Amino acid sequence: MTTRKAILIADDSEIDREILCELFREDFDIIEAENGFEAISKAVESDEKGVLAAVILDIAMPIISGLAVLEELREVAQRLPVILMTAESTPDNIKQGHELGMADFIVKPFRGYGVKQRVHNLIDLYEKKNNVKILEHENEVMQEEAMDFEEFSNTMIEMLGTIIEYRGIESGLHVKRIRMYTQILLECIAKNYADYNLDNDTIKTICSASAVHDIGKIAIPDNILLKPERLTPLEFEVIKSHTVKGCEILKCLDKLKNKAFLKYCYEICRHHHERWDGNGYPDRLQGDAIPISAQVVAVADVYDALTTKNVYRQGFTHEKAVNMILSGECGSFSPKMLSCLKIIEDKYKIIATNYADK
Amino acid sequence: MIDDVMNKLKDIGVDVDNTMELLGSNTALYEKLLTKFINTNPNYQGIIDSFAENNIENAISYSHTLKSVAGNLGFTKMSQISTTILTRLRAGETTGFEDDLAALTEEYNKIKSVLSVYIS
Repeated sequence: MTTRKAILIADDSEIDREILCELFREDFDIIEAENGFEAISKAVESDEKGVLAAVILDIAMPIISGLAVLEELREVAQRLPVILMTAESTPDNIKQGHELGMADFIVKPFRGYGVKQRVHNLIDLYEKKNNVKILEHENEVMQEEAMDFEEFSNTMIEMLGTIIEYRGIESGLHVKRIRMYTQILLECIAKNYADYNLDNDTIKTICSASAVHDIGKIAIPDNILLKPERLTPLEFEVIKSHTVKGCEILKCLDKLKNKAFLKYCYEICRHHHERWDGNGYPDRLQGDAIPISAQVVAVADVYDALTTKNVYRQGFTHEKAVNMILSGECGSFSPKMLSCLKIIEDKYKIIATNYADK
Repeated sequence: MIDDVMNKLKDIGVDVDNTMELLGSNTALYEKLLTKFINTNPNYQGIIDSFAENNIENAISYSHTLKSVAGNLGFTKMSQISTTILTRLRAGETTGFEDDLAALTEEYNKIKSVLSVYIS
């Protein structure tokens, strides 16, 4: 049940006070004051109780004038309407009233219905203004919580990346490089191919999700994963299963509210070994049936694999790696992807150099 | 009784309708306020006495209040005269108010005559 609010009416004229009480008695409790001193004391008391909706002050009051009362009630006047009344609306009075924070002024004698409606409107306005402030504060709190969540998510991802690194599967720098390659390529695609609808938030989320592309390798036995020689066909099939196994591991993230992030994790994890020509794995997706997130991480992953030393060979130079990708010798990618690679390849070279495995 | 009083007030130029709109047609309240005005409200006599005593500060205060009270009760002409007196006093005038005070008294007496039924 909503508490009935009160209006404080301060006027030394009993008749004027009584008229105002009559105007508002139906909808509000009325608190009366005959002078400025009483007005301050009663305003503070009722405001502390949380029952005050508005204050109506006559300017010409004994002991303390309405303007002096308003000065004492400045803080109150920020939260609820304090309305001045005067039989002499001089520019000085009005100016001073505004400077002190009055919500409105009413000229006496009153004219009919207008007084009641103006005060009601002001009370509504201030209530809505106060509600907006509450919502703004709640929004700030939510944004802080969202940032905390993002920080938590990033920590989780870094932790996953560290697990992969300690397992001996990938270097921590590989995960970092993949993220950077992914971002650069996505930004180029967003700029040149608007039909992929890649806004900044989407790019950011895909980059975060790229860290888990090889998480499924945790489920691959060491004797196959870390085998220095060439893999047998059967062993290769086991390796290929890391895409599907990774998605099973990602089920632990099912409770995440950030469904977009989860979606990209799944897409990248499962499809980053698909090929544009449909000869990839696990699902043999073809063309743009391959999610764009997976297409981009695939390019990043192949480029990184080519330019990084592994158990079989030294890393290729940047130029050779790019040629191998563009020519189709290594991987099969969309023409749009390759077109963007040509545009941004210099940035890839810088990353490959500056973040090379030690 | 109030209906008869209201009609008589209208006859002497009182803006009863505005006050009724202000009071939400509450004739009982109007009656109460008229009774209060004629019996206890100090402002008319206060103006007269202030000028008699040459107390300009009090004259300003009383005429300021009467301007509002009279206007709110529909005593438009009384409110206007009070405004004139107030304006002149604010402008620094201290003499030559005889005509204004006479007009104020005439208006007051007309109203008092109609409200005599409420005089206690």
